[in-house]
Amino acid sequence: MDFLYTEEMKMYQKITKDFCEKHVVPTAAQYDKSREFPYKVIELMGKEGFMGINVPKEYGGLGLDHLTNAVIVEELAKASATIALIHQVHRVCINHFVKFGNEEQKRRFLPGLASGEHLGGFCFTETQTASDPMDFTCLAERKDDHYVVNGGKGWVTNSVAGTVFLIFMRINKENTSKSFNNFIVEKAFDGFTVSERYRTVGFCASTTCDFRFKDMKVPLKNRLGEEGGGLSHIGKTIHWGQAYLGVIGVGIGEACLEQAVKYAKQRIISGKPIIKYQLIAQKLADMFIEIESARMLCHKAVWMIENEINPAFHSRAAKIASGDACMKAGIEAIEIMGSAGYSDEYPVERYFRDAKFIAVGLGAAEIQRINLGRAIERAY
Amino acid sequence: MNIAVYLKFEEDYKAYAEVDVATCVGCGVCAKVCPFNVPLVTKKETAEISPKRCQGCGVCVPYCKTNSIYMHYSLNTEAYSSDKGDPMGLRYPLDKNAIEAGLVLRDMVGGKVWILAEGPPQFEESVREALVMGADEGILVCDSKFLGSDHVASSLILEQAFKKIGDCDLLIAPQRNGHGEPLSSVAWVAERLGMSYIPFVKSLKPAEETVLVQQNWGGKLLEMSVSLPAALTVERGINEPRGLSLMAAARVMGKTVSHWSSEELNLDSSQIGEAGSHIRLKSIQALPRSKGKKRKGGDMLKGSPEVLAQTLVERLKEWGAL
Repeated sequence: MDFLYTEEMKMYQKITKDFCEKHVVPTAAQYDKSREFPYKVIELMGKEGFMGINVPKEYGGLGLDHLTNAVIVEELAKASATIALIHQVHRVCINHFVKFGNEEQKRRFLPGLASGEHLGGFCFTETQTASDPMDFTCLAERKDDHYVVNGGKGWVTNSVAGTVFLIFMRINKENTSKSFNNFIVEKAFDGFTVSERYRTVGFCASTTCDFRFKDMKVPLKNRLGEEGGGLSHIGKTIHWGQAYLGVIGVGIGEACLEQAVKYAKQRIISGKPIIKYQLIAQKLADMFIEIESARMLCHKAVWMIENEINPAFHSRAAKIASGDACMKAGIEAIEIMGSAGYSDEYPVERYFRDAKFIAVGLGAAEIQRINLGRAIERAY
Repeated sequence: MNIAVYLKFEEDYKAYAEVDVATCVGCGVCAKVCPFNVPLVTKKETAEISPKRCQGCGVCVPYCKTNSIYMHYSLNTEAYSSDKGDPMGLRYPLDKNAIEAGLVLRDMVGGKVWILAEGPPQFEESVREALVMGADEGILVCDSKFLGSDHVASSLILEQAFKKIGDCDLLIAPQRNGHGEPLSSVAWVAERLGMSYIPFVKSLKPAEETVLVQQNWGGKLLEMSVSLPAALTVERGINEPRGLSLMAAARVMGKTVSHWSSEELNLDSSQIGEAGSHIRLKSIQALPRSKGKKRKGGDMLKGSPEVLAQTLVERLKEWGAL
């Protein structure tokens, strides 16, 4: 057991940090304010190989392991949580292809996703029914060599800029474990419409919208896995997504801590920097403890994914802990910085707004706590 | 063209010379040769070197006819003694100009670039960085026995490593280390191996069996054709080093950096470290971990903005800043 990053991980971390300092940090606040999708940054990330870090080498990616992915994602999140989330959703889509796609589907889509030519997305939630698949209404009915899709999906990240989406839908109206499948849907399909954008509190440039499908034809070859096999697949993908969403939260928390420390060293009150005051020191200590604890949980969850150990407990715990840690770090950073932290003169207010999503996204912290509690009840 | 790029770990040390007044005859040679005008000949007819002003270059030591000058070194020994952790001694960013110069030459005429780095185990990170930039092979010359080597002993280590690489046409190194001192061990190696040595290189490009070099000689640019093999030390700013990319990092992932110790270089402990050094050390100690000098307390100016501005202008005039 070793807590140290390998030489390779340190190198990827350094490269990502350099990239972010040069291309992400200078524009992060601007994109957040304008709510404009950061096309230029994402295009550059594609050219530099970031969009294909979890695509196997044979399909044009870098084929990096999960822990290295986590190190890169944390660095991206420190610079801009929006960029990290866009990247994360794209990678969730890729991961599903890698795990459950057939050879033809991988050859067709992975090289484009790895180069950034395609931006991936992932649709699970439905607006009226939240995240319980048994309540889902979006239906893909089989007709000969294709499916006809009617219904909609809600709160889709990368909805405006994305070109390839992985959509989880029911294939019949029964409520059984064999009633669901994931489909690859391209935005160019007839019957696919994107609704008006939500004006979210944080992650403002990630373009969140709802999708509507009306008699949309999806070819049979776009179905992932065997017919009815979608529910078991989606569980794994969600655990995977939760662990990495936790990593984004850790990045946000770390950014809050760095900014708060920097400010507290410079801000002089009654002749000494405020970092010398015990109350500030205590706040910083608490921030560090919570962020580091969340990081350990996230890394363990990611390590379990890498080693194909069921991460159900740890992914949930990582997302909950990280959501709490980064939210608290955001509040503490603002309190340490006072009015400066509350204004857009400093990036902390952006971190604070972004932080809330970690608890809300991919299954709210409340339902995750209930699910984790029930799982503990069964397991212990 | 096969090229070795030499990188030396920037040891975190403080050095100063001290005069043994019992044997000093006050001839004043040290004062004449000191590039920083530090030694003073006192009324007692002995030399005096202020430890605070001394830059620790050691130039005066071989000139002293009575062998009365000793060097004190405070070295960060922790970097060599632990396998893991932060390289506390690495205070300066890696000088990438020398690496870039080697890579550009190779890209133009073909061949291979070896990174020949000397330092503690943590220095491997810098070697990996050079591999990501595009170097073909990475070697870390690493042994705690090297600690305390002066320029001459260092040059012996470099010479053995250079010879072990084998078929190399060019040795490129940064002109100065992070302390601003010339990497004189490169000149020693060139002398021993009978190669041309060109310092202060401003630009270089390949020609038929030679390299065309522009040298910055005291502000004047000299152009010359240098036959191979040769050793060059290049100035900072000679080029714009290429950035690191994820794709390049993925390409070199899993590539091993060879570690060469004193045994592998056929060096025994009498030739290297303190024993193999010509500069005689009087003391060697671990440097306390500190983040630089403690700031002296300043004055807190009080009054209306007009009074404050007036006082500030007066102070600045007093200090000669205005």
